[in-house]
Amino acid sequence: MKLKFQKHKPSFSSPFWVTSIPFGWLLLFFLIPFLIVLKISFSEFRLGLPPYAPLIDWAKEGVLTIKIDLSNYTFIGTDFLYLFAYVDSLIIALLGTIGCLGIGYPMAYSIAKAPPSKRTILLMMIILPFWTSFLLRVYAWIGILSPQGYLNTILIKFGLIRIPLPLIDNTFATVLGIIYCYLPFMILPLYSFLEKIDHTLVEAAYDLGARPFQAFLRVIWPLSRPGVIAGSLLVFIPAVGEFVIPELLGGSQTLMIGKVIWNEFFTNRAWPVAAALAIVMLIFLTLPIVIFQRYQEQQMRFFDAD
Amino acid sequence: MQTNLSPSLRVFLTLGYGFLYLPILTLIIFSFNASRQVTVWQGFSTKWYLSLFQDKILIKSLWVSLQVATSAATFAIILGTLAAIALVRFGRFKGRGLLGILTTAPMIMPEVITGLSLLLLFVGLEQIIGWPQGRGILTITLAHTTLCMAYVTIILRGRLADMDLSLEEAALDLGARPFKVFITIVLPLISPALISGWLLAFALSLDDLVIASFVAGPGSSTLPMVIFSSIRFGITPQINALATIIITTVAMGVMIAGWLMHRKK
Amino acid sequence: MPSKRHRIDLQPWQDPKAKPYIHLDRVSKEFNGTPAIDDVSLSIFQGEFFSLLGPSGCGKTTLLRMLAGFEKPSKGKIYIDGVDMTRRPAYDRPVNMMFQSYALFPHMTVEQNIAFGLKQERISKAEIQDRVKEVLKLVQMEKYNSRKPHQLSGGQRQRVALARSLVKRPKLLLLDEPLAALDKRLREQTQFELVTIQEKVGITFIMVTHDQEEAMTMSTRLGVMDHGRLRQIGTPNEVYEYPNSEYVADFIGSINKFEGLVTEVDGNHILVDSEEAGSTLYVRHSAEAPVGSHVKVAIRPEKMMIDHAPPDQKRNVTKGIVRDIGYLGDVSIYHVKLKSGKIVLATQPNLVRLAERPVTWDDKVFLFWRAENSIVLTA
Repeated sequence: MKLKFQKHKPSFSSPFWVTSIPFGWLLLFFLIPFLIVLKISFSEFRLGLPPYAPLIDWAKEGVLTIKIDLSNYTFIGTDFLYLFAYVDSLIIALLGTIGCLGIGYPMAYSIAKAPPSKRTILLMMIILPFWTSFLLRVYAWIGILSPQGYLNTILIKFGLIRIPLPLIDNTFATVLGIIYCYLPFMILPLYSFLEKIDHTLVEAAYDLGARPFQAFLRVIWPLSRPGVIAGSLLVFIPAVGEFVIPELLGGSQTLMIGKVIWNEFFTNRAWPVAAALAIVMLIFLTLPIVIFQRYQEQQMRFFDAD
Repeated sequence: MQTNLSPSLRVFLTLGYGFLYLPILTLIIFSFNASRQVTVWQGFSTKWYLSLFQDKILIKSLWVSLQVATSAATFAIILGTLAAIALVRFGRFKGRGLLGILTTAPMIMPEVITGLSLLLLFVGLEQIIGWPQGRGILTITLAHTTLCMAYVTIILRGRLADMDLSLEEAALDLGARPFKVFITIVLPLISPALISGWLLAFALSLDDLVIASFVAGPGSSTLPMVIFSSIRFGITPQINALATIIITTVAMGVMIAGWLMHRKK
Repeated sequence: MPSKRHRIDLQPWQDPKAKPYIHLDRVSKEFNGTPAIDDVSLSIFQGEFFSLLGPSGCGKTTLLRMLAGFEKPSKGKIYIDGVDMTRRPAYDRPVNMMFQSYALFPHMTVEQNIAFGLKQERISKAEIQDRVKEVLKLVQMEKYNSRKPHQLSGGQRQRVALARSLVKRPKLLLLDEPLAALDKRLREQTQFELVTIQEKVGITFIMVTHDQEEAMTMSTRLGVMDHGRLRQIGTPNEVYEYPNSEYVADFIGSINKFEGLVTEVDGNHILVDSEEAGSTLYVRHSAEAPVGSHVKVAIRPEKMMIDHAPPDQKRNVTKGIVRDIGYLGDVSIYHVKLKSGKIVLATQPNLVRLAERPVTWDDKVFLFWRAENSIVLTA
């Protein structure tokens, strides 16, 4: 017998500090930093450390003046290199997301359909790579894809090709790397929704005359859609700003915005430009982040490892 | 949902897991290769492991990473627990929506942005109040705490939401004050989530390259930073050996944790 | 049914000088502007077994939670043993609660669960042990003291939950659907035990239930709730035989109702002309219904007699055709359609076997009842 318990308001009122400590932390180390990025993106580049004009100018009378300099943004807007980097980032992240969905959905579906005893193991095996070094998992693909890598070596040995295929240092390798590294982020939320689907619903659809494909399209897919959206955003948003994967697998021709920001920051020491680039990327990502926030409210428990 | 898997799904599942694990497998196999040329097998050897232990920079960075990960995970657990309690148990309060957004945002925020913004904060803070002085283990720890806190909050939120509220009410009803209820009832019941949250936070901190690169100072390179600078120049069997050690450690940790939890049930 | 003889003899609520032990004084509760409890006043006496009965969402659980201290009333006051408890937190009240889910702490043994409440007071270890032992004996769970909740059956968990809430010897014990999680057979058996234990310990019980049978069997008095209001308070017998409204009459058991016009009112009877019943109805008790007003006359199905032959009486008689018979083993329920189209239910004990019963489908029958068995519903 299943019992329904009435939900009631929690019984003890909020001690101020329980809320204010994490709140204060996140304000200081997450929200305020963004405001600073915003501020610096409007600041002039200078030689020295830090390489930008002071944040706040105290004029002689002690009046606060904030200098706004749009030159960083006009600089970004006029250089096609940055525009391409943004477009490429979005396209690569999108391809990566589609790839993750294409591989992740059938896998999540199969795991959800597996007997419960096997499910735990199968799920654990999805999570396990997520716990191991991201960097080393990308690194593994260098060994596989490079001209002298395992894949080309095997293909040449079997006589399928004569000269090594250009598998690395291009967009293909970058997308592949994103799919590989972000696959668990897609499978886990998908699984958490697919697992909840009552199989009798599918049986009811069959009983009412639906063929397997129709049953999938009309019953399973709609019910798993929140998982599809959550998983896709969980892949897409971080992938847009990805640095490690394009840096190691993309070569010099793949310009993703994360890599551009990194270079502006570390190589050119142009902090204000990097800040402006980050702000523009955030603007691109605002919509997906807002959608994601709406979904995370309800169903984001899949990181619980056990 | 459970039915029999069709053969095509079975094949797909096998291919999927192959895709996930084959690259890792190549790392492990070729870490025992005697040749420096990674793709050519020239016999079994453990010399790369030995050379690993003689690499002083590597050992030092490992030490930095462990220090950062331990403290970041611990701070993240404390902050994440408080945030989760506030979000799950305090009903609607002013700023709940903002807190909810702030706790999950670091999880999806591109690391480049998080790293850049935290660095600018640290530089700004040092200019204004003189703290934190310079950048190093402290700034990396602060940055990682913020990142890990997001994951910990999500795990604990789920666990707290699943917990029967009447357990806490029963304890109150039997005369325990709210703080005592937390210590005697809530804490023991969420302890598995606290452990898995801590371990996840630890692993995430140990793994992070991008944020650490922004907020690290001279002499405080973390393990991923050292690995990164060496693999930029191509693959070396030494890194394969390191990867093997990391992967087996993590795998064993996860398996032991899984076994312990299974036994407890 | 559990014996309640000695309790029925003693009816403090009928004694105007008796002091109520639990007193709710015009209590209201709103959740975000919507009223959950609407101006409820209630007095309960020491040693009572009081039930709050009503459909889900009627506010009975909210009322219970206000007594426990989990909710604060928006208006009104709550007194327990003469002390104002309205603003006291749950951990400071001489009240304990048995939760619907039992809320046994899964990480503690049976013994630790029961001792938990005592440990919050300044009681010596030896006394805690003694009292735990004593209460375990009371609920017959001595053997299970070192088990964890998940190693117990549903019935055993229920006993532990009861023991845990009893061990502090509260002035008031609250029970939130205490038997809802048990299957039917166990539930019936547990009803007896719960009443026996209550009599033994002498603690005042307030139980919330949606099961009318449970409330009738176990309580000294019960209150029927609807939309945050207490519609009627009375002994099970009073509430069943003399419901004060259509709502209460419908909620407890089933009842036949005839609409009609009052033609005569006297101190001890009322005459109602009912087209629906097709006859004049004579009710042998008074009600506040002036001549010419519309009322409903209600008769319980088991008070309805059924026969082929016309009865001696002229009033309280109607006739119709048997449309349906529900066979329940011990009784049968006859659905009789009157001329007016109204369906009337009559319950008859199955004194003979099914094949031999005198009244069957499509029979023309007379339905009649005694004047003192009907009541007038004005609300």
